[in-house]
Amino acid sequence: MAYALEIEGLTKRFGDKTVVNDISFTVDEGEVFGFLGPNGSGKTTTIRTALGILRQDAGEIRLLNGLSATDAMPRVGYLPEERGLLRKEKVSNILRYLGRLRGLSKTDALDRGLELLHRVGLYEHRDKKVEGLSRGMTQLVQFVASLIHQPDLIILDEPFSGLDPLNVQLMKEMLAIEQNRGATVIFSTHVLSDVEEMSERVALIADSRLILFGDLHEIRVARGANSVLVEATSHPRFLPGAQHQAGRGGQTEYRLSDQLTPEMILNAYASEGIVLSRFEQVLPSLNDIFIEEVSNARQHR
Amino acid sequence: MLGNTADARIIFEEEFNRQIRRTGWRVFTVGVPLLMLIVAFVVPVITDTFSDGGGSGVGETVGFIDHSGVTDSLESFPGLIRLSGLDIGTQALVDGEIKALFVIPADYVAAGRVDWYRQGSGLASEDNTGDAFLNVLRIAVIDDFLSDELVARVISPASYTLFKVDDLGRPDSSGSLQDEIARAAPAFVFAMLLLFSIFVGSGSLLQSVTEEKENRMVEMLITSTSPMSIMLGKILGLGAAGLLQILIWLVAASISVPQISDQFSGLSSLSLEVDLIVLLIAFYFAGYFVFAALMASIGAASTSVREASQISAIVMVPAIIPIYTSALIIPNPDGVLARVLTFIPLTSPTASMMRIAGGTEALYEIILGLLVTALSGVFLLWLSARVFRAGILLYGQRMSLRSVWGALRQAG
Repeated sequence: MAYALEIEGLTKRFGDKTVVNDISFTVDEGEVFGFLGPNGSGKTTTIRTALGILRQDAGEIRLLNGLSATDAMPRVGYLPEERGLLRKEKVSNILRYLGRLRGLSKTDALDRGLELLHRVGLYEHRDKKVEGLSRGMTQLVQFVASLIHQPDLIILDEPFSGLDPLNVQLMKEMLAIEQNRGATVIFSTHVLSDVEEMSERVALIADSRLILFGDLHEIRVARGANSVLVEATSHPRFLPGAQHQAGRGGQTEYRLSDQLTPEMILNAYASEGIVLSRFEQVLPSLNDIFIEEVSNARQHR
Repeated sequence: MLGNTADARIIFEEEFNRQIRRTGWRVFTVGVPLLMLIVAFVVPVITDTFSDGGGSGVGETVGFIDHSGVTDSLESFPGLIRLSGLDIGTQALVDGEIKALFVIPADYVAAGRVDWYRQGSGLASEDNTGDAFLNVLRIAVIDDFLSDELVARVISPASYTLFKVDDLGRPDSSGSLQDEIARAAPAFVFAMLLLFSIFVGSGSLLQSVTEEKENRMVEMLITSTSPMSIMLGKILGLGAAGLLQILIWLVAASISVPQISDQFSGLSSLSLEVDLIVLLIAFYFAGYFVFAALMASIGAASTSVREASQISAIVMVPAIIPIYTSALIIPNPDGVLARVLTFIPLTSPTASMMRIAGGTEALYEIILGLLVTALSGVFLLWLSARVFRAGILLYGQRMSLRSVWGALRQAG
């Protein structure tokens, strides 16, 4: 299997504090991978260590099919969580500078930078100094800089924070293009809807430990259905132990428990002769899983 | 050891271009030569316009009243007007006909006292009219007894020709005192240029390094190239911008110095052996490099330009010490103080320059000092790269030796 990133038993300590504790996961080549975790859980430290900015206390890190961070770096695009660019410098100059440092010629760096600025709607601002841009614009320029050399692996630390919905959508579309080109995208976030929308596989980290890793759908299926959605002309008057919530168009969602199984619900409708147009087990949302797992992790601390 | 040289070259180019695009750099680069040209061409014109003219003898028209008869034998003296009474003299002073009035009392020869009348503000001790009139008095006193040549010798007894005698007793003429000053001057000029480059260059370096940290751009840089390439590119790029500035000034100076040197004797004929000039140039570069690498380390460890500036001001002091103690080093260029300072990296550049100015005979020590300086520069460059990398961990933290050491260990 070709891995864009392999992390094995990674541990990182700052003084006496263990910030990343024995984490292992892999990211496949060409996928969009969500790296989830609440604030302060160790996501940024994991990313910085994976990129070789910090040195791990234990564990192995391999990028782009077994390369070290130093060797892989020319093929990696990185958007750090700490945003910022040289404030007194022109946007086009900064892109040319960073593009050249990532192996492009002066002309190619400038051309590619301007092309990407076009795509994010900032071409008109190419000759402006960074200090003249809004925070969101600066973030987009930095995002552009991370893509300028068409990297094979794109690592984005909280890429959507502070952006308006339009720019978030724009960024997601550009990342989809990068994925189609063959690049692997890893992004960290605590916004679960972004992960559900973009990723098939995720890793969830809480309190320095990895608590979930794998295919998002499989994780949800493995957790089992926690409710049933029923669509019918009417609903049973009496269903013992039912916690239900009426929805639109004759839909009702029943929360499952030991006292209320799907069979009991189905039997209740049948016994009253109600015709069903839909009966569906609902998988837990990522939000539910996140809250449950993080809460469990904190309880066991 | 020196990182990726291709990346260092890119950073060199970018830093150089960024620096020379700065308004501050441009204003300073043009401003200094402009000031030189003003001093060279405008100041003499203004001085001439506002001066009272004056003759060649005492420089200005000066009146005197002689009650002693000591000046009776002087027929005329350029710029001197003999007056008959105090009332007439003070009126001439008020009318601006004379710059000063000297009254020689009857008992002058016995008492040696003369009254000096002047108008306006300013210290009499800073007014050379008084010294010029003393020469008039010297001539007046001896004129009756000595020939013109002897009078000239009393006023200006001799100009020395210097001879240096080697261990075998062979004398070798080294010219006049003026020649000696002319030979020492280039070393002083280089020392001043070095100090200037350090002061100006260090500010740019601190700004450049801390700016990227304050602006949070450092993580993008550090994942694009090695810290060593970043530091090397910065030091050389900003150094080249500084050097360009100095070259522009030197061109301006070559135009204006002949004009200025007319006003300051001894500057008109700078001379030094080629090997010493090469040594001075080498020390200039090594000296800049060692201080620049040190400044880069400080910038890398600091969290703001202000914090970095405070610390950097302290480490610049060693560069000044040899110039401050030049009165001890130059007369004794191979003494203990001079020797010790030659082998301390931060004092070595200027100390060696002062020793060259003093005409040191231990050139091998100077070359050894150069080696010490250059090696220290390379070590400090390596250190600055490590600190720069570790500095990422010090975001927002207050700098202390402990925190920097901790970050250095974390960064690996």
